[in-house]
Amino acid sequence: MSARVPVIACVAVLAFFAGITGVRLAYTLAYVLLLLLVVSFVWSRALARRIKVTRTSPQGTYMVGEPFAETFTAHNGSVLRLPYCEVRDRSPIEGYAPGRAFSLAGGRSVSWTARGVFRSRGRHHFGPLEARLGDPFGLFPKRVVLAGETEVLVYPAVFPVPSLVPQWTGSSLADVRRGRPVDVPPDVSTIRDYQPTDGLSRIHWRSTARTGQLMSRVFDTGQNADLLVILDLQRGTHAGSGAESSLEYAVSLAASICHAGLRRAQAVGLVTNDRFGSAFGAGRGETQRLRILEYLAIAADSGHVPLAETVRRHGEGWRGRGAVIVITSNRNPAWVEALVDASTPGQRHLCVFVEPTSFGATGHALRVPAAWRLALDWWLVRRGDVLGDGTAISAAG
Amino acid sequence: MLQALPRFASRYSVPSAVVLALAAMLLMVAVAWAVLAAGWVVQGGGGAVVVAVAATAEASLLAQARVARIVTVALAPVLALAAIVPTTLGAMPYDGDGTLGHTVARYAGALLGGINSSSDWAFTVGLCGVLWLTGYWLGWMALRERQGVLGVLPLYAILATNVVNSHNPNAVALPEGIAVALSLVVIAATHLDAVESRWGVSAVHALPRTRTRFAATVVVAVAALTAASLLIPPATTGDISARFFPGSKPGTGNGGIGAATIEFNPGTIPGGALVSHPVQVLTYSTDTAEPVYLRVVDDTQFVNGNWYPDEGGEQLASGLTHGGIRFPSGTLPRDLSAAGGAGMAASATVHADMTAQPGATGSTSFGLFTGEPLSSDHAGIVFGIGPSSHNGPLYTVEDVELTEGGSSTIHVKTSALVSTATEDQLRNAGRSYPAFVQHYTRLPDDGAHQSATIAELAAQWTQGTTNAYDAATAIESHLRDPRFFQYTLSPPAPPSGVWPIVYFLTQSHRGYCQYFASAMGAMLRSLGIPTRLVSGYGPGTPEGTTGGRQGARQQVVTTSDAHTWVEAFFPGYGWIPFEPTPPSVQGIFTPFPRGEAAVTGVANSGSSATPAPANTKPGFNDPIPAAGLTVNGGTAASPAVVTGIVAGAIVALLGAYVLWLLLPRSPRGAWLRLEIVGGLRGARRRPAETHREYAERFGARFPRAATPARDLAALLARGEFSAAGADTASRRRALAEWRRIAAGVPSQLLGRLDRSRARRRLRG
Repeated sequence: MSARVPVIACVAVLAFFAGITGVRLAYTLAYVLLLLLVVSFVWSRALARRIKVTRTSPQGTYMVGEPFAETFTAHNGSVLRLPYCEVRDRSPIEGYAPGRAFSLAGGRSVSWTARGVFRSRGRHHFGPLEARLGDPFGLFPKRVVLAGETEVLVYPAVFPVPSLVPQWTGSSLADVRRGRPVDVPPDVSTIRDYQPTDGLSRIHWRSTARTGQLMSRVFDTGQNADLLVILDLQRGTHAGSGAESSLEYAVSLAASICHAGLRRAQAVGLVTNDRFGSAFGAGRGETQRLRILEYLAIAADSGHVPLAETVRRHGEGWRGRGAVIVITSNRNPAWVEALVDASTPGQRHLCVFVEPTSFGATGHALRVPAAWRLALDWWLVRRGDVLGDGTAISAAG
Repeated sequence: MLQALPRFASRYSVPSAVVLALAAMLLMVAVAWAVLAAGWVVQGGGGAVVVAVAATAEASLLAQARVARIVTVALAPVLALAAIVPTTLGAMPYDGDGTLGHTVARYAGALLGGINSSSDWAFTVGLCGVLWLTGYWLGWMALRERQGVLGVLPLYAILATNVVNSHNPNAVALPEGIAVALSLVVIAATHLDAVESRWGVSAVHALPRTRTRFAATVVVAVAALTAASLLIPPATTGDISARFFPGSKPGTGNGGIGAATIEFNPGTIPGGALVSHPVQVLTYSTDTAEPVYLRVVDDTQFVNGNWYPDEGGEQLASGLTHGGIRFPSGTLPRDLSAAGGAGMAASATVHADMTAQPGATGSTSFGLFTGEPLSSDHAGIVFGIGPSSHNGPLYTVEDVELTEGGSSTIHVKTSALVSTATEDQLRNAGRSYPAFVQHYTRLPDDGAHQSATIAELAAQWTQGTTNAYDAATAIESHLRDPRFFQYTLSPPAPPSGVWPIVYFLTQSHRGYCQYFASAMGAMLRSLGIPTRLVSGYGPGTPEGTTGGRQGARQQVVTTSDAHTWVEAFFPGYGWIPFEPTPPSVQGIFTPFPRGEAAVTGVANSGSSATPAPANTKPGFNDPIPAAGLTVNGGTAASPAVVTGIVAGAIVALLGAYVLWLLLPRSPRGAWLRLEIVGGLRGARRRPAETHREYAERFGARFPRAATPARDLAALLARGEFSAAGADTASRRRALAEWRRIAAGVPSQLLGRLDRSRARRRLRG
């Protein structure tokens, strides 16, 4: 029950007895409660219309673990003093508490800066802001929405994985030397003056036309074979919740591997078994990196297709093209068999197994038989492993 | 200074719960102070302040300890007694029985009904109970439930009851004002505590100095509100409560609620209007030729113009004490010697045989005597002044409590001494008063020199008299003179802060027996003559003769025969009665005859040996106001006017509500009104119902408003679920939809009415 009702009832009773007795002090008691109601009502309404809060929120894309800051400015446009104002942000950003309470004289402003760290990937909203204010007696509290919302996209955390390449470049340098076919043509890194040994196909005609002399393309020799990352997003596979879940570890690993591969100018593709069957064909460059990271920012374990089927479907087409990296928490051996089947002689795939039991899943931890170790490379990742530390990951494997 | 407050407070920060608890305790102190300042307790009462503070502290501690509600309720009686008993036990008047069971019974009675008692101790205990309860409630509601308004509202009931019944509103103005201000502080502090708690839960950090700036705001707001409420003049100043509350308890003072019914009251408190609803309370017969007055209780303490029975609180001379002595049936333990006690050199014993109905003497079964109490055939406790050792007989008796009666009819035989001293004897009695009557001359002032006004009038009226008796009869005659004073049951109310008897003596000159007796008693005391008032009954009316005793007549006494008269002490002759109340329709009150006529009635002609007063007397500066004068010089509203005002206020509130219903200012407001209209027609919105679903149901109930209701639901949902909220165009459209709804619903309601009328006509 609102506190106003008993006050109104009390005013009525006091006014009646004051009226019939004519006692001045009885009137005073009635007046003070009546004035309390009136003043509180007017005060709250006047303030609710005159309070203004502005904010400068982060925009664009961020990565998990990145800090950010917001600046808020509240202005009391009323001549009345603001007894208290409680500004709250409805944004669901974990661990971020930009809400402040303050008291403000009429016509004055106050600013504050709230800092936070993006602790989870996804699309995050800043705002809308909600202000709770009112008279100092709490009879007429007001709640107003003060500002709209902005959105940022937070990529999964990306950790350095420098030790990855030598171990899982399925199409190794030897394969390149042997002239194994590579789907994606080598990228042009720069141009240089034409040399007599250069073939005609190597001439960069556009530059030649611009400079008036023959110019040859220089190919990026650092590139390697393609990578296909298969991320298991089948519903019910992952364990744990929030940041400490096997899903987040798997997504973060996928992002880190893709990021590392693309930074090394490899062609990287990503396949998942989420409910949309999202897949990104192998590609290079910043655009591909952003496409993959944007997807991984919002990826969810919503799929129904078993991982084995996904591996079988995509591994067959990938046979002999490069390495396949499967990231999963699935303890069903079917997907291992499918992955082994997808291998060709001389091609080694990598299994990144995020151990679900370390995230609270029931049952036994995965035991990797020797045959699997012979056929595939294995990393075992457990909860608490420092993903940024390559030694830890290696040790886990 | 307000600018410095936040800096100071931020440096010396204290938990808000501590501030709140302190404010609540201060509030309780102010409330207790206000009640005590009203003069309800003649002596003592300071323990009430302690109890009030203790109750708040106890509840605050329990609230901070997060004790369950049920535990708090269960602990309440124990904590209450722990606070009340130690503070009031020492002041408990001795009644001759100090056993534990009796003491517990007295406490139980005082806690349950003490607030209506005329006894100081019982009232104090009752007051402590009320203050403890409200203090406990306040502490718990403020600190645990965080409902400041609900916490302080009971205190407003106490404050209001206090002021409307106060005899001296000026005396309570300061504490009431402080209490009002503190109540607002408590409400604000509770609210701050609640929002700070919410901030803690929702991770909202308070910027520096938020609390102290809030406190500064509250100080300014409270000061402004209190000052404004004190400055706004009252809408009415006349007391018409008697027309609303007839038949309430007598003896209420200035501004008391209701016209009292005439009935026995131990205290003598000249108050508001009285009405006569005679109910037979006793019958009696005596062995005198004449009917007699029946004394019940003596009022010996004069406080702020009123007279109260002595509860033992007055400071007496060394070796004396006020107390009670138990006695078996028979002669009372009192000293009638001329040297030590109220020796009555000339007196006659009068026997009375009476049958008293329950409640004849109020809630206490007092003995009724035809004069100075001498014996009773029922056991009881006799109260009065005696030696401080409690061992010896009493020097003077002020009342006798019987162990029987009260709630049942009692047949009792008493005897008493009636003075037969002649006028000459009394004139020559001198002024060598014994020590035990010294305190009967006290006439304390209130700071406004109203006692001095009484003393000045008394001196003027008794100019030329040479002895106490002539002085007393001069005053008596003056008051009885119809040219100067009139008897009325509807005396005008005195202005605020003026003692009713001072107003009676100097301005109104109209009153009933309490006015006349109180005024004469105060005037006699101002002259240094030991005086007390006697509350009891007048002679009543004869019913017929009985055969039990030759010459005895059966008298019937009703509540309307309740009466107060004056007794002055004359050395050697004891307490001599005087009758200052003039004859009226309430009784042919005549001066007491002196000499043998006091018991034989031979000289009881109603005349007095005192010469008739002159046409004019000192002190009568203003003409006697005519009947029908404006009460209290103020604007006395009639019941019809007040009823009209109340009805008008209700109509205005209803009109405001209808206007509020018709004029929303936002889509949400429009929707709220739609829900209200739907609720009135029995279509309340269900908890999980969406706007659209409810709009469909509303539309089914009000087909004409179906489309706008649906549109309004859509607009509202769009506004609520969009980040930016509803834009201006949507807002306007929503308000337009509401206007369509508001236009359609009444016509449909009227249409239903027309159809139902038509159906009735067809049936008819």
